[in-house]
Amino acid sequence: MTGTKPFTKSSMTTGGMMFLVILSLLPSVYMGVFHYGLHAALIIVLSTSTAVVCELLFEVIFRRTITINDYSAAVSGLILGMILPPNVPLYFPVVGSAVGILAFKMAFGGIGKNILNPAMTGKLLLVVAFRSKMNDYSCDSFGKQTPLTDMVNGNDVNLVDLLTGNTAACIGTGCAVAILAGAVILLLVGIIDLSIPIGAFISFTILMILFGKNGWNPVFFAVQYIGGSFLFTVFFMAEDYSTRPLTKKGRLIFGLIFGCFTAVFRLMGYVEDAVVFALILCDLTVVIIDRKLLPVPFGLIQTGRSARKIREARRRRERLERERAEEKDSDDMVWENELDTDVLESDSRTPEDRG
Amino acid sequence: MARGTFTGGVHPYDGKDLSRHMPIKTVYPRGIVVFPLLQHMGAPAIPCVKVGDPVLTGQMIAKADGDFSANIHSSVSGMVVAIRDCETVGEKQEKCIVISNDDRFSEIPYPPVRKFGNLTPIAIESAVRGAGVVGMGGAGLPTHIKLSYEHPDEIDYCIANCVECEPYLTSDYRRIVENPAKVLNGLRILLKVFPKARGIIALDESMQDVYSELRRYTAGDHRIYVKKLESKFPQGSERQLIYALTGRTMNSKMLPSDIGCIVNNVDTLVAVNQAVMLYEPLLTRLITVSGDCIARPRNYRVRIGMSYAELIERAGGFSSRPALILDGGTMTGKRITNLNVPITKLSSGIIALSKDRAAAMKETACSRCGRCVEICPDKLLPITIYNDALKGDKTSFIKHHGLECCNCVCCSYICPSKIDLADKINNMKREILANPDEAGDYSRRLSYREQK
Repeated sequence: MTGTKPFTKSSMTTGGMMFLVILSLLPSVYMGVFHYGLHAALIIVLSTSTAVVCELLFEVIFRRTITINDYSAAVSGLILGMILPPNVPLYFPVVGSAVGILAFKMAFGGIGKNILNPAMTGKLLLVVAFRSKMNDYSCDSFGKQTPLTDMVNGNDVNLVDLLTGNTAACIGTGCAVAILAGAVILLLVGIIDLSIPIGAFISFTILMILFGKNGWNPVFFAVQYIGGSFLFTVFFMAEDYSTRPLTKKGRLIFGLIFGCFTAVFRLMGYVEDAVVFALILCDLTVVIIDRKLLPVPFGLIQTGRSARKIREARRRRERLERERAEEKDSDDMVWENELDTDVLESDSRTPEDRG
Repeated sequence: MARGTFTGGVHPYDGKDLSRHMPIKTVYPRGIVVFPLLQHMGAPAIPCVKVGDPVLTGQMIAKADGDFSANIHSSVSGMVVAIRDCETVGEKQEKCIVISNDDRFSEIPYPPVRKFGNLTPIAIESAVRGAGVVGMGGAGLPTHIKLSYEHPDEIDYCIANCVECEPYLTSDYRRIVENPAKVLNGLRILLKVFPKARGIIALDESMQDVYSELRRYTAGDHRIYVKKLESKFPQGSERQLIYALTGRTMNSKMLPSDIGCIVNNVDTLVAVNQAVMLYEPLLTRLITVSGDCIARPRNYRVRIGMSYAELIERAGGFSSRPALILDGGTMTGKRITNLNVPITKLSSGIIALSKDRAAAMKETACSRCGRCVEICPDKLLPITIYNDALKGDKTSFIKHHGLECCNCVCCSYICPSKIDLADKINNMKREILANPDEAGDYSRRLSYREQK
C-alpha cells in the first residue's frame, strides 16, 4: 500500500521493454540461423542461457534480489551470441557471456549500474584472446572473409547478398533488412530514438568521405554501413540503456563520438573489430557526458530577450487596443442583458432535491 | 505566441467519461457539519463564534489571520456545538468548528446585487477577500492575493484554467458547460482589476462542444479569447499552462505575476462572480464522485463541511468494495483511509477504485532508460536528482536544479522500474526549503506558508 501520489502508473516495465528488445532481435536471429545453420542456433542458445544462469547464480550466492525476470541478462546474452562468428567453438559464447555478465554487469551492481556493455566486453575479451578464430567467418559455403574485408582488400561485393544476409558475417549482423526491421519495431514502441544513429552516421560518413579514399562511392558506403556490424551496433548495442547518456543531446554527442571512433579504427585497419573497440571506448565517455551536459531547466534562464519580448508584446497590444477603441465604443453592460444569463443567480441555493 | 502545448508530459488513463456527461446535482448535508480552520494556504483562520452560538447560512464563523489566510463561512444554519480537533484529509488532526445543522438553511440577508458597471478594483478585492474565496485548483492560495498585485497595469493575461488534466475529475468541465455566463463574468470582473489584461479561457482539446459555444459567447468581446490546449498531464499546471498559451516561461523562483499572468481556476472565477455580484460567500464547491466502485459517478454541488462518507452515501454508495479511495485524482490526489472527514474548499473529487494499480507494482532497479528525462516538463534529470536525494547530498541536489521540480509526479508515473522518484525528490526539496539559507530565492513561493 503506497501512501504517496501518483496512484496510477504506466503499464510499461523494465521486463516489458527488454521483452520487446528480444522480439525486435528475433528477425536477425532467424536470418542468422537460416543462413548459418544449427551451430549458429546453438551458439545463441548457449550464450543466452549462460548469461541468465550466471546472473541467477550471482544473485543467489550474494543474496541479492533475483532480477532475471527483467530479461536484461537474456538480452545481453542474446546479443553476444549474435555478434559472434557462426563457426566459433561452443565454449566461446559460454566464456564471453559469463565474463560479460559476471565481471562487467553484476560486479558493477547489476542493471543500470554497469559502465561497459556486457555483451561487447564479452566479445572484446574473445577478440583479444582468440584474434584469428574470431576473424574466421567461414561457414558452409561462405568464405573466410566478410564483405567488408573483401572490399577493403579490393574485391567485388554483392550488395543484394549484404541486404539479405546471404554472406559471411556474424550470426545476427549479416542481414541488413532484418536489423532495420528490428530497429523500426524499437522506434515505433519508443524504446530507442534516433539521436544515437543520427550522430553515428553523420560523423562516420564525414570521416569516411574525408579519409576513406573512396569519395562518395555509394557501394563503398553501403558496405561500410552494413558490413562489420556497424548497423547492428548502432541500433541495438549503442542504445543499451545502462551505457548511453541520459539526455537526447548527450546521446547525439555519444553517437558522434561512436561514429568517429569506428571510422578511425576502420581507417587504422581494424575491419570487423572496429565497432567493438569504438563502443567500449564510447561507453567510457558516458559518465563525462552525463556529468557535463546538464539540460537547462524550464524557464530557469529569464534572459533580457524574453523580458524585451514581453515589453514588445505589451506595446503591440496597446496599439491594437487603441485602434479597436476608435472603431467602437465598447459597452460594459451590453452582455448583461444580452445573454440569457445565470450570472445573478445564486450558486449554492439551487432549489433541487432538498431534504 | 501560443504553442498549445509544452514539451514532456504524460498521458495517464483519464477516466473522465465516467462522469462528464452527467449534469451537476446538488446535495445538502444533514446532521453535523465540520469546518476545519485551515482550508487555504497560510495560517488557520480564527474562530469568531462561540460554542452554543446560533449561526445562519453564509455567516462568517472564522476570520482570516493575516493576508494569506481566508475567512470561513458556515454553509448551513444551526448551532455551534464544539470547537475541537477533528481528523481531516491526510490523517491530520486539525482544529475545526463543528455545527449541528437544523436542516432549514436559513440565510443571512444579502445586500441587493451589485451593478457590474459600478465595480472598482478595490470593491472587487474586498468582496473577494470577505467571501473567503481561495484558489480551487488545489493549492488554496487566497484569491485576493492574486487580485492585490501592486502593479495591475503589468498584467497582460488573465487566464481561466479549465484544462483539468487530472484524471477522473470533470467538475471544471461541468462548470463551464452549465455556467459559462458565470465563468465569463468572473473573468470580466478580473479584467476590471487588470485594465491592460486580456482574458484567456484555456480549454482541453476534448472540450470541443464548449469551445464553439464559448467562441460564440465571446465573439463581441475583444478582450476575451478562448484557446484549446493539448490533452496531456500536467497541462493545467500554472507554468505549463502559461507557456502553452503565451510562450512565456517561468521558473520556481517566480510567480505568474512576474511575467504578466494571473491564472485562476474556472470554479474560482464562479466564486469570484458570486462574491462580487451577489455578496455570496464561498459555501459550496463542485466535487467529482467517480471511479469504478462508485454506483452513480457524477459531479455534485456540495456544501463545504459535509463529510465524504455522507456524500458517497447520498451519491448512491459503492457498487463494489474499493481498494483505493482518493481525495482528488489519481495523479496528485491523497489516499483517504477514514471517510469521516470534512470536504473543504480544497477538495476536488473523491475517486474510489477497485484496484490499487500503483501498489501492485514492485520497485526494481533503475535501468537508466531515460524516460523520466524525456517526459519531465521542467526539463530536469529526475533520476540524477533522485540519486542525490537518496544520498542526501544537498549541494549536488541544488546543483542539478532539484529545487526547480514542480512536483508534477510525471516521473513516478512513467518510470518502468516503478521507482517513486517524485516522493523522494519532494521530501528532499521540502527539507532544503525549510532552511531559508539553503533555499535562497526559492523560498519566495513557499513564503506564503511561513507567514503565520
